[in-house]
Amino acid sequence: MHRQIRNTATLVGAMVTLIALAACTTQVARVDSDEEIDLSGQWNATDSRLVSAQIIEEVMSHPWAERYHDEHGRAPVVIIGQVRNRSHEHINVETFINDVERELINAANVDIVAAGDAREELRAERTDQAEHAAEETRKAMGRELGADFMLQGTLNSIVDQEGRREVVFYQVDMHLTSLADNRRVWAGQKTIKKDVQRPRARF
Amino acid sequence: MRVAVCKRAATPLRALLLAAVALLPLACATPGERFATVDSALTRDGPEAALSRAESLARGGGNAALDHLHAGMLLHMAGDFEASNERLEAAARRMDADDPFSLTEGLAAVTIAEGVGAFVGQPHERVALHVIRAFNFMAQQQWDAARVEARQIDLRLNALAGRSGFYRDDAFARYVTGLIYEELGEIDDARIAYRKAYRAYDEQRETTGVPVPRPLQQALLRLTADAAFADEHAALRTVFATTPEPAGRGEGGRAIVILGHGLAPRIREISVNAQHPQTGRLYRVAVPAYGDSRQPLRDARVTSGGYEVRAEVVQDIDRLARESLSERMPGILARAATRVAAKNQMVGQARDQNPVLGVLVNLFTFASERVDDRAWTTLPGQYLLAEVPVDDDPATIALELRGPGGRVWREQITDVRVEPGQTRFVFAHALSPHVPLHRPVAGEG
Repeated sequence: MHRQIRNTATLVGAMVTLIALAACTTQVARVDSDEEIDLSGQWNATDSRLVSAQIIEEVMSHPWAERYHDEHGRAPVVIIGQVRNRSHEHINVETFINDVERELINAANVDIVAAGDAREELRAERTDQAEHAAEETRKAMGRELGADFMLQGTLNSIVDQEGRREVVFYQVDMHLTSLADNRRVWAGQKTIKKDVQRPRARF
Repeated sequence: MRVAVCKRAATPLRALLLAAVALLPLACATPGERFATVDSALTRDGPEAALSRAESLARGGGNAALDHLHAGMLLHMAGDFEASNERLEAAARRMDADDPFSLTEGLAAVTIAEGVGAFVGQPHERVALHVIRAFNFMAQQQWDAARVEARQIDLRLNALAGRSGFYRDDAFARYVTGLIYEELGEIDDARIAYRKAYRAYDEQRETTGVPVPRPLQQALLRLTADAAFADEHAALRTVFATTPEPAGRGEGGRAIVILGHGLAPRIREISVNAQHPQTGRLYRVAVPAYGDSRQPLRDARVTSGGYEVRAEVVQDIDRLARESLSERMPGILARAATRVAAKNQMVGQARDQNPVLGVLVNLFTFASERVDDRAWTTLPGQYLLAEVPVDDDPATIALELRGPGGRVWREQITDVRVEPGQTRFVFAHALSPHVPLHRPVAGEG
């Protein structure tokens, strides 16, 4: 009888230890990057992916590039400008900008030139080459490809809240503008609406 | 302050026993008591030393949010804006997660002690978190990010609008959002924010003791100067009894100096200890109260070139904290009374089982009766603001700070870069006449 009690106690002790160890361990599981996981209700990877998919679909289906090609006999050159975050959350807009840029680069009828910090880094490298690289391998200044269009955008949000319920509306507007005459040749939009109900109580 | 009470004519032994037992709660210092050394490190050696002390005291758990808030504020004072924002974001996440009412913590508050639950901050502290984050972004000239914080402030204050009590809006936070929108050139949003700030200052004047600051009056007049707002402009001119002035004068720009001074008040404990004359059972009731104000300044003057401006109080956090506690006090007292009854019941049941167990449970219930003295005490006691024209680039801004008793000390903020027509925000923190002005410098220029 005593032995049975001791065995049971040992078993219970081992289980408690295992549960305690499991509770103390960081658990990581690999999931598909397309899987929707909403934790806080804030802007997340799924939203970013939905926006880039929509914008890419719109920008690629519009005939602005073909028109330019027909008029000028060459592919248009696009520079990616700023996408300003005017929402109520700190959102890294680079993820969907990079998606859009990648699709444009991969499209056969559009050329993309570097912008922002990447361009500054390239210029710094050319400056460095001018001093340190062998003449036959040196890349000259002033030979950059000038962009014909700039892609810009804004990310806005509207929040309606009552108690612990929140309805958040995100709107991403992107547009492509001709640098020669400020003509807007394409504009695209993607909206996302979320209904977030926060818990009233916890254990 | 602790008061020991013994109803029966105390024998020396009984009095000695009660005095010894009354020291029991001191064995476990409250978070506020532990943090007192950080405050002294801050006012003696500055934010870096205080941060190091605060990090060594951080216990995490239910106080993790408070640990992050203190670290975030000290990093802000030290000029490490990015790290400050990381810690403040961590605090916000933690408070959001702990915000829903906890059943176990609610039960513990009426059976064990007030401060056993997770720290979620008072409403004015939750708003101040976004204000400090906005300051960090403003100091780094990251205006889009500052706008995000402005919108967070708007959302939080809009949610407070329906609540009862005095803190239904935050005039200074609204004013800061107006400054951000104006800097971004979003004049309509700035005008709305300034209007809300003006209304809040006006409505809360009796509670907060802060009148509508003159720079806000000027901002409102400036932004309603358009013909479309002629009626509003005329009405404001009459109310403010002043005329609009340009944002900068002459060829230069302007500097807006936001000067925090002192520290938010610290909660102390007032306790009454008693022993039942017949049963010998120990009782203890502890209630929170605020100590003295910790504001070293009575006046501050800001000088740039030939211009001298008196800095005006734009927020009195010390007073906000005191009002907040007064508002919560009925609930705190009700829970304290419930705890006395619940603890008495627990001790009685334990004593019925075993007298020794009864004594032990009584000692536990007695020692555990502590106040919740957690508060974001590294916030300044007050914020002052001065808007001063700046002709030189870089400029030197001089501060003449006047403490209690007319003691005057002077500080200089050098290398303030203000381009013509532009506005530069300068953040500084005066802790005491004995330590140099802490002016976050990163991101300048």
